[in-house]
Amino acid sequence: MRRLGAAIAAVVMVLVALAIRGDWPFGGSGGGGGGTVRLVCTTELEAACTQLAEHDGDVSVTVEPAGTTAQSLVGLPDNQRPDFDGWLAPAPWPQMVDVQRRGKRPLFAKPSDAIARSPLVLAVRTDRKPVLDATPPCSNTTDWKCIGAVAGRPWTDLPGGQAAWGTVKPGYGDPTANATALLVLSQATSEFLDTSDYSRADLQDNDQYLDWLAGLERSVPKLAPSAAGPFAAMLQQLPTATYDAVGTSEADAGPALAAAAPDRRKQLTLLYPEPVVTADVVLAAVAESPNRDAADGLAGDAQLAAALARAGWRVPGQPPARGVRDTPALPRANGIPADPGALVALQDTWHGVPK
Amino acid sequence: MKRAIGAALAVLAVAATVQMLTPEVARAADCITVDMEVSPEKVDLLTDLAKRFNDSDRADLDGQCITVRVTQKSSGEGASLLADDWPNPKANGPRPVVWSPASSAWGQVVNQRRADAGKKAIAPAGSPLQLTPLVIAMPQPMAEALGYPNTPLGYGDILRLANDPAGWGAYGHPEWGPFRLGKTNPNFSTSALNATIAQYYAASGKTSGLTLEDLNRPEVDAFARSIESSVVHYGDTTLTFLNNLYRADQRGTGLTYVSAVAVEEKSVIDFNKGNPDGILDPGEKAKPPRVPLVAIYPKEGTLFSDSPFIVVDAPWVSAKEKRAAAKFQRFVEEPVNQKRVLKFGFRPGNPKVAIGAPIEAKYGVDPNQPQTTLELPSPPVLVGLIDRWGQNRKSARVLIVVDVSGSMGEPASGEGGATKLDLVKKAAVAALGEFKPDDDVGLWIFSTEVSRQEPTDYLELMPIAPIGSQREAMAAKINDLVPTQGTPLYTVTKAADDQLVQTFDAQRINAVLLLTDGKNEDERNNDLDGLLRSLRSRNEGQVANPVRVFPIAYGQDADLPTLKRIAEATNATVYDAADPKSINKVFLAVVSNF
Repeated sequence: MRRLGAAIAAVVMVLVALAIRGDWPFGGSGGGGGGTVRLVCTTELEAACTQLAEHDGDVSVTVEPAGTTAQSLVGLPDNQRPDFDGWLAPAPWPQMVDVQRRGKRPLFAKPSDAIARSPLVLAVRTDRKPVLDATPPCSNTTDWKCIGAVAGRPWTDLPGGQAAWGTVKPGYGDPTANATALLVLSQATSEFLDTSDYSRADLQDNDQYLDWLAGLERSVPKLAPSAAGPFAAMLQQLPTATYDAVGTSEADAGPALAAAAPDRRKQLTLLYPEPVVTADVVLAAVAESPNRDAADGLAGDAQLAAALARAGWRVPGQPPARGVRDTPALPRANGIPADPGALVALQDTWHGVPK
Repeated sequence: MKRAIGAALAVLAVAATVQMLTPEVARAADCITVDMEVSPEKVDLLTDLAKRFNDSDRADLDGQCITVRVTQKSSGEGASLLADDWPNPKANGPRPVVWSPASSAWGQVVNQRRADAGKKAIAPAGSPLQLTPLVIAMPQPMAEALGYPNTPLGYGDILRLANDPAGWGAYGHPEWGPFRLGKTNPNFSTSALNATIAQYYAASGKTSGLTLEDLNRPEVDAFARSIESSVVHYGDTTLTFLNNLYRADQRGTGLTYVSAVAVEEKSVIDFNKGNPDGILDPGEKAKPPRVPLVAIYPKEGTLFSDSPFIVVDAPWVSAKEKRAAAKFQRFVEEPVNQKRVLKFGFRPGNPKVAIGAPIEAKYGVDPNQPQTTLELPSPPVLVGLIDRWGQNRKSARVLIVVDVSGSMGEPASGEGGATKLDLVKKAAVAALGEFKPDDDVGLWIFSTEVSRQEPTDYLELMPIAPIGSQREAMAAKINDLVPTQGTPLYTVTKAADDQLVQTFDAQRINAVLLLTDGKNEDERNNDLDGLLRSLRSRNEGQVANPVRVFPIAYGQDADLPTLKRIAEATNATVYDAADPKSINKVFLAVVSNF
């Protein structure tokens, strides 16, 4: 009888050990039963999301380009719901999905307020900056209006430009695939149009804008596709001028530049074009998800906030990562059109211009 | 007592069970294997990094160990296999989880070829592990004759020289003879693919936006043909050129072998260190060349080989393998490992690591170059460009000389009773398909007393003539071959070389493809030194009419060292087919020279 007791005790101990290791053999999940929150993150949030998943066993993470997620969601039939519980993405990507699902139920509940923010920057080659400054369309203000005016021109056309630099090459990524790239293009568009409240007609019925956009796009070098974005490519290939000016977020460029070897760091300068536009990270819970509350709750998760800050995002109450500045102060509004449909229109317009 | 023993056993059982659940023991279970196929120039580096990873505690995924296995394949061959869903892993090696060709361009080629065949893309974009720009490597005196380092040089300048009938005479150096361009085959080699792209940009006067229409423009086509006409020979790897150039340099004849070679910057460093193939064999000591190479960074811009880490998105790759691959990628990208990348002569992919030695002037390279890049053409243009090269490449004039000695009738193990000759016949017939119609190809066989008439040691089965009109007939002749007597290797090598020299065609690559499975067995002619002297004398000097002899050492009994010397005497290279089953692949590699 006692032997039987010992054997039972042994079995119990084995099962306890299995449970501790998370290999519970009788179904469910070791970490949190059916309560694991399935989070999809855009590529630019990979570092923060990976950290979150490593620290929180109740969260599983999938990282993919915003465009990939958006494309699959826009085409999702009305009687199906996404196979995840929440989408962490720069605004207004979740709303853009819902405006494109015309006639269907919205997929997302109201997104959270901005969890983290990052101003958009222009990374320019330090040695080219004085040349741009001396060029009339720029006149000491290197912004997208300036870059758009000189893009594609030989550097030798600009005062002090060198033949070895080739042509002026901007970069910002694919705005139909990458969340930040779309925000950068919106910033450039706003600068050209002198308004951040543009509409489809402002884009598609405006020959001047279409010519400007086509010129800008033609001058973007077509490089081998890389999982790294244009800023990473620019930094990696220095001193080669893969790009002369790249638009991205401070979160992408600031920490990477600060961590780069000194010989590379000095070759790039980060500019903050005015008016400041920000990438604002929001969490959009899937409206009909059984884990909606848990997903919503992640917006206030301290671990996520800390992870985002470590990854270079500005998060209130969190220490900034190296390379993240406290200036310029961020405006209340993000500088993006209030209507997410305008961003969809921008994607459509970009798609239509000759490249 | 019994109770005490029972309790103790129970405790031991529990302890053992719990112990089994610890990560250390779990590692002993089957590991997750990540097969990684890499391009040859970085196989040593990645093998080293894989070993460090496998031995570290980083090689762990959810308690299961990870084993990264690295094998090498040329980027072009890898691309062809992936486009075709990696058939026959037994022969071609395991289907890769990770593929790291020399350049991301190959990923585009794979996806385009698959799209053309109605298949899904399987080569997503990858992050660069390391970088090295394509440069034009020139012997320093030649570069200086063109104005280096003060005058910026570009593909246009180099290629115009290639078209100048006065050759180096136009630059005051007639003793260097005509301009000779070293270039590999873009179906296999990344340097060649990049050089061909650059060549078409130069021909079209563009630095971006190359289109299919550009490729079809008559003047672009003519320019491309003209450039190809200055090519010494092609090949599957630039290392052949660099090894040959190094040997020629040591003999003091480097300047008449090749004037410029399109290679990666890393190869210039290796060459100038005295280690032209980047691999030091046991006992080998690096000895700097007499005449160093310098890297010309083309003023029009150039392309980078970026060694992307591509996790293949194919059905044979599981989600777990993808995660394991990502762990290895992060390991390789760590600064400490990226410093190893630098030691191998590559520029680190991680910008946290500064570019430093050996990327420095003393090795003929410039860390502050290149200043600008060329655009990678769109995938359809890339594929069109490779196809167009196949039509425009320098024509060949090749004599295929096949050993039909008695030993060729021996069974090739593991091939269902087929003889060595059977396998050769199959491979040779397949290789005939790689020649373009206006390539001149002839066929000899050799064995002692193979012919009743003089010369009795070899027999011309097909005269050298355009293959287009005799491809089928030659295939039939090859299929009829039967093994006979001994191996008069030196006699037939000399005779074949004589034949090509006497009928030399300067507009073509003149070469002998010599396949043999044995050593010289002809007591009437045992003069290897005499043969080598003769071969060498014809391949050196400004007025040389170089005929390259590319031997294939077939089977275990082939005299590889001697065949290597024969190849080197003609600035060619030997191909080792010790495993008869490899003969198909080897034949294709040899034919890539033409």
